[in-house]
Amino acid sequence: MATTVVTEGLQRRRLSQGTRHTINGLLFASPWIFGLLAFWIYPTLASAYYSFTKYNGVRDPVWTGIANYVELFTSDGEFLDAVYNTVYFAVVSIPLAIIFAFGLALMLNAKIRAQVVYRTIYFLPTLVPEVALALVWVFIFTPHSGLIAAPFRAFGSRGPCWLTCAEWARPTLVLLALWIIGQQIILYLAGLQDVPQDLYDAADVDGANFFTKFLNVTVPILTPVIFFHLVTSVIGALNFFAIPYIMTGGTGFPANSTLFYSIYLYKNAFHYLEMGYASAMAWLLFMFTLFVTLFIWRSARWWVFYAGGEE
Amino acid sequence: MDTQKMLSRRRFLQVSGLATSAALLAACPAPAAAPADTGGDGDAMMETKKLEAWSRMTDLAQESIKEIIDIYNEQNTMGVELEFVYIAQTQGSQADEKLLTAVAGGTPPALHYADRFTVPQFAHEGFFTDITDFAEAAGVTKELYFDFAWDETVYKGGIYALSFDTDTRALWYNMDIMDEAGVDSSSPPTNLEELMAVTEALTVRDDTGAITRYGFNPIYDQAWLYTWGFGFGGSFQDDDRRITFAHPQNIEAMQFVKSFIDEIGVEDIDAMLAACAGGNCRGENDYFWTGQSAMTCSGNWKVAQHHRYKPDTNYGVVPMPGPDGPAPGASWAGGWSWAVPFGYDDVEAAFDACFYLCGPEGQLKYNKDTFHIPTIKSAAEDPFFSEDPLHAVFMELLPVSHARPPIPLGSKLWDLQVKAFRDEIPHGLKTPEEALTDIDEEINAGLEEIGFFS
Amino acid sequence: MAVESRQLPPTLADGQSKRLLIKRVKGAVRSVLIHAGLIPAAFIFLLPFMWMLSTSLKPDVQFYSYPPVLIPSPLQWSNFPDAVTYITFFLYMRNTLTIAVLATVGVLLSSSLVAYSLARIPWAGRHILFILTLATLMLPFQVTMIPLFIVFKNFGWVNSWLPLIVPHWFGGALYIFLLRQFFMTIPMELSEAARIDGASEFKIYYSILLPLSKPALATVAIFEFIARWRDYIGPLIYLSDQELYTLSLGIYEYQSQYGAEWGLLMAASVMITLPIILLFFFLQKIFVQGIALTGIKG
Repeated sequence: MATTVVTEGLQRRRLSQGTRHTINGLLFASPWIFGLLAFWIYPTLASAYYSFTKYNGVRDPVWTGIANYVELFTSDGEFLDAVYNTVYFAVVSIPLAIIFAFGLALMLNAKIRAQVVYRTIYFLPTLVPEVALALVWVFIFTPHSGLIAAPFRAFGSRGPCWLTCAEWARPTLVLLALWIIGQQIILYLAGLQDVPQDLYDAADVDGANFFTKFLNVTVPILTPVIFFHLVTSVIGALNFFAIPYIMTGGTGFPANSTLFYSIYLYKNAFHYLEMGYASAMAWLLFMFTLFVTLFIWRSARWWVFYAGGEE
Repeated sequence: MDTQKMLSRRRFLQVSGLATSAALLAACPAPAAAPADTGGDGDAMMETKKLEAWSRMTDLAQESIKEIIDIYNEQNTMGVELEFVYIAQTQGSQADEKLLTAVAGGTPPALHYADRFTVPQFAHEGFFTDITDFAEAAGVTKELYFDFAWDETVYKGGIYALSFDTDTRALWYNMDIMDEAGVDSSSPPTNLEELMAVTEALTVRDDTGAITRYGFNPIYDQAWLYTWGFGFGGSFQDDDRRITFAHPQNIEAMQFVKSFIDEIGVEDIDAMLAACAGGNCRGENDYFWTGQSAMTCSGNWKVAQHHRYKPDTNYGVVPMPGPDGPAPGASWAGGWSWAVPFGYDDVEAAFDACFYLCGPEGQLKYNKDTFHIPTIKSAAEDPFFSEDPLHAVFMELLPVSHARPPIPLGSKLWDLQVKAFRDEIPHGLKTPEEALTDIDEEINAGLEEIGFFS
Repeated sequence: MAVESRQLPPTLADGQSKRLLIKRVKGAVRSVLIHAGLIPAAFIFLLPFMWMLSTSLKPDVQFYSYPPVLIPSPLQWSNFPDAVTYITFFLYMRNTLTIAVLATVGVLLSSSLVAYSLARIPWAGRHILFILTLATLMLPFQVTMIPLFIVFKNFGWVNSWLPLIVPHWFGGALYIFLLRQFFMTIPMELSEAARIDGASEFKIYYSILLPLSKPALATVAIFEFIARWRDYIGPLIYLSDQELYTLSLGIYEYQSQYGAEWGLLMAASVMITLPIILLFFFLQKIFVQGIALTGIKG
């Protein structure tokens, strides 16, 4: 391997440790740095430029200054609805997803019979193609005739209105999102493999019960994974798209309660051919996500425990 | 009702398709300009140029288009080879990411299959090429096509697409269910009062009061705002080309729809629409074919589905009922077209292929194969389209059918009217007048801004 | 491995067998409780797939009958052979497999290298590069789609698999992030000891970090394979030759403007899902406790 030769060579020449680290760091990161330059820089800068223009994708962009941004905040009611729904979804679904995925992963990590089967089952909804998923959900969540309505019917009730009324639509979407949590479970499972058994054994000797062990051994060691999950689910929740799009075709019905930020962005870009406006939306989302992520990153030093040392 | 045809739809259409293409091949005179030695294969000095035709069509429609393309490749004088490229499309989505990206990136196909309703928008935004000069040179005139189809392909005096097919809308009813429910199936509803009464008579509810069989859902399938507005004698665009959703007749129509929904129960209406989310109720899943809805407002394409899915059930079709008797004018015509995307270099060759597909021969074959209706007047007179008694009803509606207003903000308008019709008005978020006025204000302001009226 | 394993203190005391018994009983109770929790939830998680499987075996008429039929009768096995002939199923599957495998291999190699740089080498730019890496995940793809298309067009890659494979050989932001998190849980003493022994960074990466990160690497492989297997927008935008199409595009061929071949669509969906179920089934064996390093935390 070329890298090996180079690094060994460098060491022989006795460069200062700092320089050696910098060279090695850049070398190892070089594919990605090259990738960013080749595939990321231009599209990113281009979309930033579009956000200050009127642009439909084919005509030359016309510079309009901050007009798109002004319009978003001053005269676009749907934008505000989309922001509200998206923030609601993020705030409600992220904690639930973390608890749910972590909890299931703990159970799936226990040495029990049929462990493999369980794991596969919990992973399945993640794999079902979207067209099929839409059918299944409708089959379950249709008011009155859906599967979930059956127990209510037994009591002579129609049951909740699920996705057909504004007050239930948002919670229903949170519920649907929790269904496809297989990948997050895998993530925690992978993390759980890093917990050394002897730490548990040592805790056993100290007479620790299950909860003490969980809080003092399992959680600290999994904080790097929780950090990853938290950051990616913030990004994911703010870009929530597929599920509401499947369930409502992107209409936002009822009463804009299922209109999410990236659905509205997508509609502007590809239905209404307002690529400039969509780019402005994208950059606002980008700035907001970056702000939240940096906040989480800064906070990480207080709660994320890296066995490999501080960042 | 004549439902003897036991052939499956596919088989039925394949046989008729074969017959048509054979007839066309036989009847087609060799193009005048064709060189004498067309038969010789070895003389093609230059490599034949490949033209791509992008389309989302699948199944029989795709087969038919491919067959038409084969015929064109045999006989075209441009020395080109047209190739069908299937483009995946999520159902219900109007967005066409692939075309937009390709045009933006400068790699457009020669032809694109477009919902005709979207043509003015694509023309306005510069995604389609103005083909007026080529059309005129080829002798394409307004008189050849039905007005509604022609108007949708023209923007600011330029021709941007050629229409390919069309459809009309009427009331379908399940005669077997009517007979079973003790409703006279030989006299289907002719006015709105009767429609409401028959709906009530055909509706079945369980002990929770939830509907298990719908008589009729006034906002399902092709019962759109347009259908009701036209049926009440309303119009959606004035002579200055301004949008007029708040036309008094449209408001009246929507007030009726709202009272009809309240009569049935908005929860039940919602339940049906929720079950059909994501295009789940297409084809054999349609509430009408499953017998979960006794009547529906729908189009002529259902004739082919009838032969295919439920050949043994008896169905009837009549014009949509209106406030004072039958309202054939409630029907509106949609359909598809072929356009040359912007940036494609050889517009002449692309147009030549486009005109073959959308000319008399191409249209006749395609519409016979698929049970759609030609937009070329002379082709629509072909007796084939009136052979089936149910399809004949739709053919009679053709001369009185309306069209949606062709404006460059088509997608926005479509979204807004769906929202008013299926969300705001049924759920009482806005009164019909408020909802319709809001549409007019937003769209007309948008049209003003882009200089549509000047 | 140059790791000192912490030994449990010897506990050969009198009460040992009693403690063992209590431990066994406790274990049994625990496992019953876990089953009691997992089984009901498993039904819910099984529903989408079961419904898909059930529908794939239904004759047309039962598809949407009310009340719903879960076990069709008769079983319409013909939906499966019909589904693979209705579209060029196996061609699409081969294409999808090729793209997914090549992209996954590339992303594993490149992302682990980059993550090593971010997590294990204390160089000055690594925080900035890390934030930049996260940032690439934050800009919605809808607005970079067209400029990115233009980039690939200038490379002459449109209508080939290159845009769907090559970028993954330069790393995937999500996986770099993921692997960085896992690499950072491995004690730095390991690297330092190896460095003192004169090992190169690549040697440390290759013979210490990678073997210790099998679960994380398997996770990346599963995520990336599924992402490529299901990718719709990429193949849609870049491919215009039906010979190159993937299953995610092909599945829409079962639907038409007014109808859909629901039985075939569901049969195809089952067949599309099976390979990834198998992949998962085999890879998940890596997620078995006990292979992780021992005794060096804290």
